[in-house]
Amino acid sequence: MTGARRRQGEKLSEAEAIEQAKQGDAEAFEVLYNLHKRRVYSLCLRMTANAAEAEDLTQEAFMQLFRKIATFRGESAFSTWLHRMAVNVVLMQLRKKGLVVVPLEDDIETEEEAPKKDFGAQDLALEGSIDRLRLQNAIGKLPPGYRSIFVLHDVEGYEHNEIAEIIGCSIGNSKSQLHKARMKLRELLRTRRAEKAIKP
Amino acid sequence: MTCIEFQDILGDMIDGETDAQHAAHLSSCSSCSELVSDLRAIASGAKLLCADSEPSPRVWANIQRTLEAEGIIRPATQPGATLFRQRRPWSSVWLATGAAVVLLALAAFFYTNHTTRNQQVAQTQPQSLGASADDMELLSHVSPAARASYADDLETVNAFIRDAEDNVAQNPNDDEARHFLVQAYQERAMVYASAMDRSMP
Repeated sequence: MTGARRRQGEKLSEAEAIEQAKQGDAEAFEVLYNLHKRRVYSLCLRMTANAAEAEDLTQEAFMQLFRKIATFRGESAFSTWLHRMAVNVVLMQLRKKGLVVVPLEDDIETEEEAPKKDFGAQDLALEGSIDRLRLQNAIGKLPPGYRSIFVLHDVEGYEHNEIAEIIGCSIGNSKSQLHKARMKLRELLRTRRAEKAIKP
Repeated sequence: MTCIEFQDILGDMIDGETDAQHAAHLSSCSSCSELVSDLRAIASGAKLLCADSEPSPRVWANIQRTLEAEGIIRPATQPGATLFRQRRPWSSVWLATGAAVVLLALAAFFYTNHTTRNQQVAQTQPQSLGASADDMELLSHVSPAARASYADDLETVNAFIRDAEDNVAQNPNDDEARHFLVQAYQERAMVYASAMDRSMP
C-alpha cells in the first residue's frame, strides 16, 4: 500500500512514515525530518540565539528521536514527543554551560521599580512580520535563562508548572523570570523604536 | 493603589484577569496602563512567531550519515530511494545554482543601492513577479516526497520577501529594513540550494 502510494508520487502521512521508520525505511525518516525540522530548529535557534549551535542541537534531537522511534506507541502526539525531546536536548546543553536559570536574586538590570516614560516611544504593537522579526531579534538578546523561560512559555505555550518540571526550578521562579524577560524585551524594543524615531 | 503596589501583582495580571482594583489604577495611571499594554503586546506577539527558520542541508546530511553508520536505516530496496540516488544531472544543478546566484546578486544590488523609494519599488517588482515560474521549475526537479515541504518553504520565504520589499519601499533609508530584505533573499537562495541538493536524478 505504502510502496504503491510512493510509486505514484504521493506523500507519506506522518502515521505511515512513523510505521515505516520503525522498519528502518530511509525515506520515512526523511519525511519525518521534513515535517518537523522547522519547528525543532526554530525552537533551538530561539533558545540558543546561535545558528550553528541550533543546527547541532536539531541534529541531536532528531538522532535521539530516530534511535527511540521503535518505542513510540502513540500515547501522545508524535510532535509533542519530539518537541519535549528537543527541549530537553537544548536544556541539557544550556545546563552544561550553566545557563538554564537565572537565580531570583541575580537581578540583571530590569527596571521594575516604577514604569518610566520612555522618551516618546509609541506603544508596542507587534503585528506585522517585520515587527515579529524585531521581537525575534530582541529575544535573541535576552540573557539565556530568561530567554529559555520566555520561549517555553510565551512562544511554545508551556505552562509554568511544566516549565518548573522541565527546568527543575520552582513555579514562582518561572513566573518571576518570565516577567523579567518581558520587561527586558520591552526595554529592548522601545529603545530600538526610540532610536529609529530620533534617526532621520 | 500605588504604582509600586501595582508592580507587585503585574506579572500575574498580564496572563490573567484584571480585577476592579487593578482596573481602577490602570484607568488613572497612564504609565502603568502603557506598561500593561506593552507587556501584553509582547506576550501576544510571541504567540504569533512562526517556526519559519530552516536548518541548512548539512543537518540532514549528518543525520543520514549517522543513521547509516548506526545501522538504523536499512538499505533501500527500490531504485531511486533516498540514500542511493544516482548523481543528479548537471542541468538541475546549474538551474538551481543559477537561480541562487541571481537572487544573491539582486540582494547585494538592492542592499547597496540608495536610490529613491520609487526606483526601489520598480526594481523589486519584476523580481517578485518572475519568481513563481522559477519556483515551479525548481519544484519539478525535487523528489515527490519533499515537494510539498519545499513548496511550503518557498511560500513562506516569498511572503517574507514581499513584506521586506514593502518595508523597504516605505522606509527607503532604514538600514534594518534593507537588512531584512537581504536576509529574505538569502533565505530564498538557501531554499534553492537545499532543493538543488535534493533534486531527482
